[in-house]
Amino acid sequence: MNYLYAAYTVIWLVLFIYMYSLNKKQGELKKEIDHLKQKIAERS
Amino acid sequence: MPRISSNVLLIIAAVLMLIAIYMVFIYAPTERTMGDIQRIFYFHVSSAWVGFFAFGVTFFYSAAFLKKKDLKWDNIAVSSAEIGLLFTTITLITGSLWARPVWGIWWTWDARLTSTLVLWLIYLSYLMLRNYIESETKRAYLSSVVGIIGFTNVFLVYFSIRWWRTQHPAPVIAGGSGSGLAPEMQLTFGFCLVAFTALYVYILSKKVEIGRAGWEIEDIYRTLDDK
Repeated sequence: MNYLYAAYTVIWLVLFIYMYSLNKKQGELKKEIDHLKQKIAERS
Repeated sequence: MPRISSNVLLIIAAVLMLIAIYMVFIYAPTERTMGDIQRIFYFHVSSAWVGFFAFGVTFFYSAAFLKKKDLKWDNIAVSSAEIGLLFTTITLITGSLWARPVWGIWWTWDARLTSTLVLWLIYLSYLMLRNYIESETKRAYLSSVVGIIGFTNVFLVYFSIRWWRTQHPAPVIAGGSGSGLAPEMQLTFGFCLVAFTALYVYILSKKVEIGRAGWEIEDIYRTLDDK
């Protein structure tokens, strides 16, 4: 049973870490886009 | 065709996944020979399926890039390759965790396991290759070639247990006489395949959005430089 739990823990851990990193990256990029757009608006 | 938001895709994938977990642990009967450890099968094979499917998508969009020379196809190809690598990693780890109590070993160099490891290494190289090439177009061309050639190994992995005698079990689906699953197991397995495919679609949509956001930033920097 321990191997079964280990397998399912690994699956969810790997998937959660990956999806969390994707969300974080997307958030950072969105922030940068907003910041740059604001910069353009200020210049014009 | 209207675009489905990634939040809707996430909700669909999450609901399907919760039902899949219920089916794996409660609905599906315990296998007679291996006992509860066999329940690894449902997510192990589903991960392998997503890996194959993702590499198939990489193959398709790599070919589309070489034909149309449009970087948006390359963005989909690389996004799918990364997800395929992730799910193949899960396949290798869960396979090893299943092998230990059943075979008494973590790993063996049989045709199925070795060809899967080679598949994993090919797509790892695909992603590493992209990091070494600065020119966006050259990077897309070279990785498209690797994405197309690399996909041939998927067939080798799939047929390895049919062509050679391996430590890995013979196929339970379409494996000829003596193969097959109990109806409840079959339904659970089918449902897991659908749930994992839905999760793949969600992650792919996220990855593609991130790729697009990267281009948007580059465009904005170009605009700022021009001003």
